[in-house]
Amino acid sequence: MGCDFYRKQLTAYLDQELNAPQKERMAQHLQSCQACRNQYDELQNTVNLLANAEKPALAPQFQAGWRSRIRQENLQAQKGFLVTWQSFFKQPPLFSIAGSLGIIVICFCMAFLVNRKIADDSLKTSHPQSLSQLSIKESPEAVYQLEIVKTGKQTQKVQQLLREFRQTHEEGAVLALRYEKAKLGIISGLKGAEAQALKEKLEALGAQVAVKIVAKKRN
Amino acid sequence: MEEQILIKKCQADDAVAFEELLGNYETMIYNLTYRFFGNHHDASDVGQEALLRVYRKIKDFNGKSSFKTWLYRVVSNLCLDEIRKRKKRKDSSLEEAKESGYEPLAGDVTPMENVLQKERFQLIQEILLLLTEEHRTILILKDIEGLDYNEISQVLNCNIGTVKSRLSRARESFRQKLATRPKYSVLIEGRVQHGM
Ligand SMILES: [Zn+2]
Repeated sequence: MGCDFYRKQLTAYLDQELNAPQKERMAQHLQSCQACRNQYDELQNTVNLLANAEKPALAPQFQAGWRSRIRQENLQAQKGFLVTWQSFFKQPPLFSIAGSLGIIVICFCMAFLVNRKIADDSLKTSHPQSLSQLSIKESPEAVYQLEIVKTGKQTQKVQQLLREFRQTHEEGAVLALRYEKAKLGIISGLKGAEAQALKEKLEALGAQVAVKIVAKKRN
Repeated sequence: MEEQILIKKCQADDAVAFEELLGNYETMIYNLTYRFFGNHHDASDVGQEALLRVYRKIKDFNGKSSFKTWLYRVVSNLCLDEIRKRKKRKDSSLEEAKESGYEPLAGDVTPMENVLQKERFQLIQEILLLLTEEHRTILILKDIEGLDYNEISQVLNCNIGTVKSRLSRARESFRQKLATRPKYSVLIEGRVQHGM
């Protein structure tokens, strides 16, 4: 057998997927052939590199987001807003604890995001609207995130607007974080014009909206 | 609670049971979506979509494969659909934005203190994104997620022979791309194992 034959089997050999005679032949060949041995070492380095790859940290908006969207979908199915929150807390103790923990996690995420925003731009807290409007017009090509800081008095209309927006916005400009009880929400992945339009609609309903750039054009 | 019971509850539209069941898999799902897209923004968006899809489709799970394998299939397929969709249609997604010269600002919150670790993490991700979807998928499933040939053949709905040959080509492609990176020998230093 030539080297080509063995090269094709290196991957299966490394994964212990060869049968006993194949394995034996491969081992013998590797002992006598430096070139194939080098190839094997390289392959093993590659596989080790991938196998030991560090894991990405979970984004808080993912952890809070999917739970929130499941609840929302469940709510829509049941056609009642408070019902599910109540039933959620009426679950046996284990669920209540899990639920409460979930809420603590979500609150923590919110606090984290809010803190970061303040750190990013301390002025934003005093004049959020004028400043954020400025930033949208300055770089319409960037990718934006809107955060509903306060829904104002027309909470249900704001929520309705967000639901409709999410349904009509195909690209999955997804409500990344939403916590019904605190009436806070984040919509991410918007183009400048989209962000501006949605922001204006939200503000027309009396909501207070903060804007953040999540990606911008490289220079 | 036992997984089988939780699955039954989910199939009976129990959203609380769903959160409990999928809470055990959210890290796995996030890792998977992250590897496909290479940034936290898309990983979070697509990961959420994936969980919604699982929620809507869980009644289809029939126990022929393990629940984990079934999840890998649903989530991988969603990621691949999303990648194809983005390729076909120029849209406002971040992937697009990145291709046209945008850089994500959010994300990269990985708490890696060690510079070498962080560089290795980024290098692996960069190279994964250079591969074809087919090769990227199989390396993610086998070498990062650690599935065996049999599980992969179930996830990808193909036979073991295909898994073997595709994996072989994918690793070779990854290796070649890795070799062109000047820093790669430093990053894998200490991992070289000579001899049999
Ligand atoms: Zn040889």
